Amino acid sequence: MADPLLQVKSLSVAFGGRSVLCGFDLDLAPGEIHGLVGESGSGKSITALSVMRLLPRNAIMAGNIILSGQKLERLGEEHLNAIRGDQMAMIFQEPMTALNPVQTIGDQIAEGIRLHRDVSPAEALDMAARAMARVELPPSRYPLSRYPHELSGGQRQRVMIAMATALKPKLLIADEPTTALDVVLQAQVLKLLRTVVDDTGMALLLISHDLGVVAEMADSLTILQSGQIREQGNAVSILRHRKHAYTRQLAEASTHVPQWKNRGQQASGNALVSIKNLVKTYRSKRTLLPNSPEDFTAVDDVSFDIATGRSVGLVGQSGCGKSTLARLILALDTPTGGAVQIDGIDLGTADQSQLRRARRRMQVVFQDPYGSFNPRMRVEKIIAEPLHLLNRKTTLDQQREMIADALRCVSLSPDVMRRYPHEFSGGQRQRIAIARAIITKPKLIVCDEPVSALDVSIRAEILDLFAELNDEHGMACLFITHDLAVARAITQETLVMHRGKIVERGPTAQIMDSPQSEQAQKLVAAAPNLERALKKRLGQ
Amino acid sequence: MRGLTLGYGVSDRMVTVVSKTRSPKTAWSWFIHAMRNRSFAVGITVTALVVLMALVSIVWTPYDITKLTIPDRLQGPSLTHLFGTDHFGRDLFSMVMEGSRNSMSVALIAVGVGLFIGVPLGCLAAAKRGWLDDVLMRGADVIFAFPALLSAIMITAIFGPGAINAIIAIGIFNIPVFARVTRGAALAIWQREFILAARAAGKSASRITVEHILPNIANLLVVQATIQFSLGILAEAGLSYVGLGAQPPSTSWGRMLAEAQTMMGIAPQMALAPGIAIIATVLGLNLLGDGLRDITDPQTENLAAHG
Repeated sequence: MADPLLQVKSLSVAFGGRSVLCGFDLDLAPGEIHGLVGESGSGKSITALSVMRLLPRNAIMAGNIILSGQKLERLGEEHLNAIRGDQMAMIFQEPMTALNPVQTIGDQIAEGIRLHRDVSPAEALDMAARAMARVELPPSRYPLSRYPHELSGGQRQRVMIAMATALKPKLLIADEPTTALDVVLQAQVLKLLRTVVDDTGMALLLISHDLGVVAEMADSLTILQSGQIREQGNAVSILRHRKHAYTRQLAEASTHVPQWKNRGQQASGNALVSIKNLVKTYRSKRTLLPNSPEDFTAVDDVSFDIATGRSVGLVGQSGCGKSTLARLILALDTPTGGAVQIDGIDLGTADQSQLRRARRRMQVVFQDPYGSFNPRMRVEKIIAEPLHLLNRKTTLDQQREMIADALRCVSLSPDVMRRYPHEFSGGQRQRIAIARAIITKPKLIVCDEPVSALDVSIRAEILDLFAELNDEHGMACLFITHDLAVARAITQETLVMHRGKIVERGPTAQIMDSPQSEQAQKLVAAAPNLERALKKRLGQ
Repeated sequence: MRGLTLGYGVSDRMVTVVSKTRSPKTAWSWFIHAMRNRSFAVGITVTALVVLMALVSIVWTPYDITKLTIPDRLQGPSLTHLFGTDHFGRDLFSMVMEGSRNSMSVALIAVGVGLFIGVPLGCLAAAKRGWLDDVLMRGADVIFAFPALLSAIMITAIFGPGAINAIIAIGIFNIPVFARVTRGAALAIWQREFILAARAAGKSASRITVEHILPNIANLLVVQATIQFSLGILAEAGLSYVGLGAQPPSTSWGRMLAEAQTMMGIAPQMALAPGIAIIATVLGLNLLGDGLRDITDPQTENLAAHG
């Protein structure tokens, strides 16, 4: 093995006496891709920030970090600034906030170049253009004069990569670079990172919470749990043998399929939800200027039924209109055309009391377990929110009983009623969200990306919970997701959506195994899959 | 629906909940926490003193300010007359106490008028959007376009001078301030996902406003109210100074300043006493507002917790 480019020796980090990283070692050779896998709180981002020497001021760090012979832990801020961005660079998770919205992308890339190289502004822009071409954003089509808001999420993440790699650093750290992207974009960005590494010979430290994501990419692997290394070494052998219990747990969670007793057997023929020729068009702001932008059709002539007790997946890339469709079904938005019927009630013509009846039969669970609660309400009140939909007046004691039942049903103790949402972890919050959704015993739960913000092991638990609700209590579910692995785990039927239209529908297994439409094929191919990646690499 | 229980099977595995942050706070522990903020501590102390002074003046002042004792006139500060006396021999400390009551009650009621009319209007604009929002906000713009003090003078000129009319005049100009602040903050809350969840639960806009919007913007309104309160004291002083506020024999800080004007050369204490009272009160209220904003802003609170 060549001389390591980066050596980390017994790195430990603590915040105010609380150790978050303990005895971390790592050797990284030029051109090597190292996967750092762990769940939230495992210390993986802290590792990245330690190497960049960007830890918050109140962190206490011990150990050695050696980048091509330089002991980073001894260097002062001035030296570090010369190294950061030049010899080592970092890509962050959130492409929406990592770029300055009031500066053109060309200027932002050129700025970094001029900090480290003595070049003229024109030369810097020229280098920026080359960096953009390297990330497949040729300046002929994506001029440097664009602003971040003119680019999509995937394109922004590429600009971030262009910015980080413009000076061909020796080390690139990518902290969850694809977590905020849909699977198709994720696959593109990962492929791009691979190409950049192959072209420039830089080392890549790829941080992720999902083994499936790194399985295809990484040469070597570190599994991190609560600040300690559980396993480290060759990626293929770790993934194949899974010696450590935690590795097995991560791998299982990444490919988790809930246990079903009577998968979809309870489904009856009659349609619970019936959607006919639904259209939603967003009128563009009319301006006095000619050539004002055209109206945007988010949902374009969509028709489908959901049978009672069925679990249906609605998959598609971000921006395909699936969330808009969900809002239309939930009567949170009024359609431009077409009709939605819930249990025989037409939402378009329903009066107040009919709308209440319809609302009692459908509830919703959102993606972000942090944003979906009023931070100033106790759990008790949060969960009781839909109760006023019941016709009958309930006494306080009866309400308590119902809340306790809903909490038990999502495996939370009724004691948590008096707590506030900030006292719970992400997975627990999602359980509370589900408890709120099921308290009126709805027949349909609409779930908008309910697990994509969660760690893989927690994701598995929540999927189990949804499966249980569908399986044992016969609740129909509409699962909106960009991840086919999630759809495969808990749905019987899948609809594939693309640009506002349903392009394919059928039994989930059939779509997974032999997708017909181009969009479905793309989604299936892009979904991270641990087993498939491993097979591919063993076959090499 | 029959039967109260949901009837779902109880899962055998219960998830243990680990409390991640501090337990719910009591009002007292919140106060102790808040007193660590220097602006808040100074602001609340000064404000409390002024309020106390105003309350005490209802039942007791060192001297009766309606009684003129000409032989004692224009005395400097001494132990018998803490701030000295004016040209009628009245005790200035007693007058400052009496004046604080007038100044504060006018400002307080004026802020109340702004809150009780402005906040509902702001909530309405944020909840309904569309043309109603446009009408309300353009209406606020129109009121903003008038120079506040001049318009207040106009109002009192039409309806006659006096404390009640001063309250109305100052109150009217507080309405658009609160309407705007409320609307802006409420709009941001309306975008949040928990509002979507509440709508999916079938709650009406008015219920969402009461249950979700108001509790989440309350801190902002309290901060704005303290700032408006201090502005109200200044406005009342301005109106009284030109003779349109409190009428004799009652007094207020602005009125005292006006009376002191001609005596400045021979009895500066007559101007200093109400002047310092105004400065101290306004400064105290502004510090209180700043402190409250720092304490209730989740961002700075997070910085304190993590940084």
